[in-house]
Amino acid sequence: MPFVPSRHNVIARLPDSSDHVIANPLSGSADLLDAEEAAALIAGKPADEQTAVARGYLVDSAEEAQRYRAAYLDFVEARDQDEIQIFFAPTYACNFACSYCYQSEYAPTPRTDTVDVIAAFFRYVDTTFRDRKKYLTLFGGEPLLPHENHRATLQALIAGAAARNLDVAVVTNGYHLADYLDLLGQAHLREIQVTLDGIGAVHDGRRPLHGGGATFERVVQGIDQALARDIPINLRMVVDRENLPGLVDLAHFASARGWTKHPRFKTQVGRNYELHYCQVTQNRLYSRLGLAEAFAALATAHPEVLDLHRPSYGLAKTLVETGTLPEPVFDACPGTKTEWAFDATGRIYACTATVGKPGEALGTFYPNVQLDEQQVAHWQDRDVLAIPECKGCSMQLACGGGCASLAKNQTGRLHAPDCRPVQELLGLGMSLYRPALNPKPAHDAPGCDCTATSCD
Amino acid sequence: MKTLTPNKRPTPNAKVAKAPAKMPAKITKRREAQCCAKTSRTAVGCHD
Repeated sequence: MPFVPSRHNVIARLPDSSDHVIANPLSGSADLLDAEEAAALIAGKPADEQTAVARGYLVDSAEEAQRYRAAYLDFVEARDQDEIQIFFAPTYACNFACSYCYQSEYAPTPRTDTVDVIAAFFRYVDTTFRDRKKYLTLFGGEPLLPHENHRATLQALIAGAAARNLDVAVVTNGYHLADYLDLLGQAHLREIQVTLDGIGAVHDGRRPLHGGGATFERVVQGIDQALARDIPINLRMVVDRENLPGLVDLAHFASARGWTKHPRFKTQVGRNYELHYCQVTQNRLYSRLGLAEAFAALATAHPEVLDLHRPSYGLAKTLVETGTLPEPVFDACPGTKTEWAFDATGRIYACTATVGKPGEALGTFYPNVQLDEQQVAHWQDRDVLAIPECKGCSMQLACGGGCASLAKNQTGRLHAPDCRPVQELLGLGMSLYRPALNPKPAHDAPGCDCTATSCD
Repeated sequence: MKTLTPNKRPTPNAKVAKAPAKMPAKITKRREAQCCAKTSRTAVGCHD
């Protein structure tokens, strides 16, 4: 039987090494290769053909096509049973003036009948997502603003979620978090996402109050108090060239504060990028690969950064930490599948990228329920089989076609790719995380011949 | 070749896909003890 290289082999060279890593998201196999083995596999002539076939790197094309179809059906079936994240933006107003805000130009006319809007929102959820697992995420703007009308809205949303046994998550700038903890404590809180872009002046310079004013200390107090109540905190750090080096200070700060050891504390790094609008200071922005390279360099020089955050580097982190590859991703975009977004104007959107953006609404839930079924179907049809550019791409099952909203902004087409540098990320991540494959045994473990001094 | 994952995933949906023509051979993971090898972790994290 003629075997050929799999269409889904991802082969990357590890930076500063002649070694390569091969990963095949369809077969689930990954191996480290020396330069000779990599070249032979790429040429389809590995020295050990039996092993290459067993690992799914050399395949019978027809058999692989069959596995691909089966995996696709499994993916769709699993997604259909997956939990839906329902975002609700009670307002687009915000007390912060972040230098990179993509919503700063959103100014919908506020409604005065918020009670009716929230009642209609829950009716829509009850009807449309009746048989689906789901949870509510409060989004904005800033959902935790101080005025009584905002508090009343939050109270109604939390009561509505509690009545339906829905978990609640909150995406907040954290400034008024401490003031809202009693109210939020009435919900079953999945997590609260708070953003710090560094410590002290670094954060304050990027995320000041409207009209100026520091915010760092207040946000830190909110995080401290939430963790003291065992409320899960997801700390987001939005980074670019200006503040990436500041992650070292933030790592020290988070460690000293006891955050990084807290079981309910986790982190994410968000890249500052242009979602819908151009930024004035474009030269500070990283590309996806640029950020990955810069983070790896920073973490190599200051390994304590990895105590704060360990990026996924595509397939690499999962591979190293679990010894398995993620399941094939036929579609990376959750919009209209496992994610929907709603706002207080009564409009329905696909996701957090599009919520509130003029012209992006897919329908309304108030005052009337109506959905543009044709547009929704177009969103729901988008995956690596529907995107022409993805069809011949060997990265497709690791990339999943990326973000639909970004793809549309870049190309004018929803069924276009927002490509991820899968190959480069895999190489970088394996280089960064590779030492974890060879953990040191404890001093008294069999095979350890080191001294306490050298280990310490 | 140094194996990073277990053998190839089982065929995901038996209703649709036939059994693979060749079952993957078992490949033992090879992990060398490299006590005190230089790592990118700090002393705090080196025994993680």
